This record gives sequence, C-alpha cells and structure tokens, in this order.
Amino acid sequence: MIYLLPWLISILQGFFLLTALIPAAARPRMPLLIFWGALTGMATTALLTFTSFLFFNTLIPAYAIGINIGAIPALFLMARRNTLNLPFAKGSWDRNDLVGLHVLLLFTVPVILHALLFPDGGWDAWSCWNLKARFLFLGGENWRGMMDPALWRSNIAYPFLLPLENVWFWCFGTEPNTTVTLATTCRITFLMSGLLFFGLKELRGRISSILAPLWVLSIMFIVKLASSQYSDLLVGVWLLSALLGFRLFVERRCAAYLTLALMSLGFMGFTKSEGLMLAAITLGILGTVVLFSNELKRMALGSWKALLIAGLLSFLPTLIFQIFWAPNSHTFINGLTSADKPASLERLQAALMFLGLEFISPKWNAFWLILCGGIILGGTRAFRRGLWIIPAIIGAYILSIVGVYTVNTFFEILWWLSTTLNRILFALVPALVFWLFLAHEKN
Amino acid sequence: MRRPLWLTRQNIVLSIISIALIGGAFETIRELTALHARRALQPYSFGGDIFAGVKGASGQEKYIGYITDRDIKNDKVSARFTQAQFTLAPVILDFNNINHRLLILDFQDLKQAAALGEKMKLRLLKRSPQGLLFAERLDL
Repeated sequence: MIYLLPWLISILQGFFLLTALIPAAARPRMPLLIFWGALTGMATTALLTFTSFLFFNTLIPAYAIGINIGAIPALFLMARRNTLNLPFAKGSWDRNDLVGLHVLLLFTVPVILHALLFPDGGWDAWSCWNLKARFLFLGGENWRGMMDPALWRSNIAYPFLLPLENVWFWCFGTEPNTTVTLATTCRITFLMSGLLFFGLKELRGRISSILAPLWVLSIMFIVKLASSQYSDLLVGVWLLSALLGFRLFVERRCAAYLTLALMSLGFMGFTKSEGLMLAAITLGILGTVVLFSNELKRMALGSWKALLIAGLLSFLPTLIFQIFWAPNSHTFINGLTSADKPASLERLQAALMFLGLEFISPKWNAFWLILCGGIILGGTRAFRRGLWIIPAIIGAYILSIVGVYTVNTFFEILWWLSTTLNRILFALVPALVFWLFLAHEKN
Repeated sequence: MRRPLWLTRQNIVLSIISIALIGGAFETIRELTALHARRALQPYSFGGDIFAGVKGASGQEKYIGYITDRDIKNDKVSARFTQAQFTLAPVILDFNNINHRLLILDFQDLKQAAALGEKMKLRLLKRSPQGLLFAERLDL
C-alpha cells in the first residue's frame, strides 16, 4: 500500500505540470488530462530522483521524496495562476469515459496475470533494466558501476529512465523488490492504453476510439512484451505522447501542446538508444514542419520561453548522460570499416526479410495486415494536415534500424534480428494504431 | 443501388478490428489459462537465487571473478551468469577473470574446480548445495 504514495505524487505532479503549461481555454477533457498527467508525472518524478545522483553522486531517498513532494505545491500555484477561476479541465468525465475506463481495466488484467507468472520479467529486464535499477538503489556512490565495461553484456551504454522510475518507488521501501518493477510495467501499459483511448476520443469525439487500445491489448504477443518489464514500452508511450501533442498543436493552435510533444521526445531519448534515435528523427521531422509553418510566427514570447525551457530540461538528462557518462558501446563494430567483420548485402537482405516475416507472423494476430489495409482504405485522409508526419517518422526510423542491423556487425545477424526486431516493432504499435484511427476522420 | 449509409470505409475497418479483437481476446485467455496451469505444476523460480548465499559473504567488494567451465555462448549458461549478476548487484561479476580477491567457481566438473583451487591456493569461504564454490585468493 505504501507504493500508492509515489504513484499519487507522480499523478499530482504531472497533472499540475500539464495544467500549468496548457492555457485553460485550450485544455483537454479531464480523463485525458489525468492519463497524460500520470504519464508525464512518471517521467518527472524519475528525473527529479535523478538529481540526487547528479548533486550527491548517490541516491538519498529522503531527498528524492522531499524534492518530488516539494514540486507539487510549486506546480499547483503555477497551474492555479494559469487557470484563474476556470475549472482545471475543459470537460469532466462522461458516461462513455467511465465505461471505457472500466473496459480498459478489464483488458489490462491479462497483462497483470502474465506479469505475475514472470515476476522478474523477461531476459532484458534482469540482465539490463532492473539490473541498472539495483545499481542505482543499492550501489551508493558506486552506482556508476552499472556502466563498468565488465558488464558489457548488459547494454551499459543505455540510459535509464525506466530504472529511475522503479528507484523512485523503491525510495518508499527498504529493498529493491519485484512488486514495484512488476507493477510499473502493468501501470505503464494501462496508462498507454488510456492515453490512446482518451487521446483519440479528444480528437475524434467517438466512443469507438476504445477499440484502439483494446485491439492492442487483445494480442497475446503484445501482452507478453508489455509485461516483460522492458523499456520498449516506454519508447512506444512517449512516441504516442509526442504525436498526440503535435496533433493537438495542429488542431488547437496552442503552443503548449508543442511544448508537451518536445518534452515527450526528451523523455523518450532517456529510455534507450533506440529511443534516442527515434527522438532525434521525430525532432528533426517535427522541427522542420513547425519551422516552415506559420504557427511559430503567431507564438507569444511566453510560449517560446516555455517551449525552450521545457525542451532543454527534458533533454538535459540525456545530454548529461551522453556527454559525461555513457561508456563506449562494446557491442558495436562498424562493418563499413572493419576488415574482420565487414557489413554485407546478406545482412541487409536478412534484415528486410525478417521485417517481412514479422509482418505476416501469426503471433501478431494479423495486426500488420489489418493496419496496412486500414490505412489503404483511409486513402488520402491518412496523409492530411500533418498526419503524414507519422508514416514519415516511422518510415525513417525503420530505415535507420535496418541500417544499424546492416552496419553493426558485432552480433550474428539472424540471432540479433530474431531477438530484437519484434520489440522494435512493438514500440511502434501505439503510434501506428493512433494513426490508423485518425486516418478515417474528416478534417 | 445506393450504398447503405452505415457502410463506410471507417466502419469496415472498425468491424475488422472488432473481429480481430474478439479472436485475439479468446486466444489470450486460452494461452494464459494454459500458462497458469503449467505454472501450477512447476512453480516459478529465479535462476539467480542460488547465488544469493554469496551476497552476505562478499562484504564491500566491488568485483568478484566468476569462473566457469561452461560455454557462455549457450543461452542457458548466459542466463545463469546474468541472473547471478542481477542477484549480486551492485557487486560486479567479472566473467572468467581470476584477477580478483573473491571468486565464484561455477563448475560442472568439480574436480577441475578443486584443481584450480589447489593451483591458485584458494581458501574456500562457502559451498552451496548446488555445487557453487565461493573462494578467496590468499595471494591478493
């Protein structure tokens, strides 16, 4: 029960941060505000916990708890100032929202049941993510031991937003238990499905949006990956959050949503190396689109300031990690320059073949075929008013990933593809479903 | 003949998704039921737990050498090693590096472990029921 407290703190933090950022007139309805706030708060509590390592070179639980609780009244005052006498959200829960919420809870049950079968998570959970969390929690001043070259099998060059989230919860207990890591993966899955449903409902105004998360959660393979305690889930969540922010920015012409999109990308960059690559691609494409639009000229000075400060702060942990701490990757051989292990056309062919095989694999329950069919049926609407950026981002990301598989010749290609490609695709699922459901809407 | 109003592209897609959703949900329930039944017969255990005994004996040591005659390329061996690392963190297990004061000897062939112990003058600190040896180098 004690672990409900850190969750409550992160929800309040995220909720007030969102209400402090978004002007009252442009805010979404309460359900979306809560789900989006809970996700944003999850990242902010983790990053505030990170400051303990930054300032004291060790985890001080009392400091982490203090700074996280202390941030709430500060954010509340900012939110209150931004709200004046208006209600916090534009609309409250309606009956459909409540029905949807209960159905989402029901569809999260399989994830919980599967997670309970494997309390320590999948391979990468104990060999990488939860291992990092244990170093952060137990390591004292030697927490950077998690980046020791002797641990090269454990992705030492990866950043650690998910481990920090678990550490934040562990601050309320005495030991690094699996209850927290297991609950975190289920919580993120639930929040992701809520963000997908309420985000789509905000944009489409239809209860049929509930089919989007339910479809995702009905696929056993996704249930398995979602309950594995991997960071790929976080990559998927932050991509969805960034795209939702950008969509609302386009539709409501409110700069605060662009700030939220930028923050989401900052959080995504701190999840894992693939997340950083995806964040850079998304930032490049979104940045180009926004710079060439007229929206920026209309933005007030205050909005510019918020955009730059929030963007800088959310990317700061990634910058600090990459510049000062990240060790060289021991699992990278540049096949373009290596004489021993050169890149070859066979690697490229294998990557493309595996991509094709994943798309038709029965484990996905025809997800990719339905997705492609649905997009084709959507016709030109699927690419209207800024929606084209979703396939552009995902296409560029997949091309980059195929490039990495081809060029990095450290791993035996077939083994590497068979163990990692499905997780990379899994992280794209929420964003792709979001696109499909918007692809059939009129302007 | 005019197309019925409800027969839109969107409704076609939503109908297909609904069918996939129902099929997927049944499949998920079936697979989860089977997994839980299997788990009832074979309770969960974490491979790293057999190394927990070393934890208390390692003190403030930063590194422990993990010496084995098993092939790390084998997935089972790799899992055993990484689970050991997980259990013993924040101590760092250095794979097959004998240049540390404390060593875990995880051998299939205990005679080989004994020979190594004799050659390097190791002092046995702990022995687990699963045959793991935890030893100290006296020359370091």
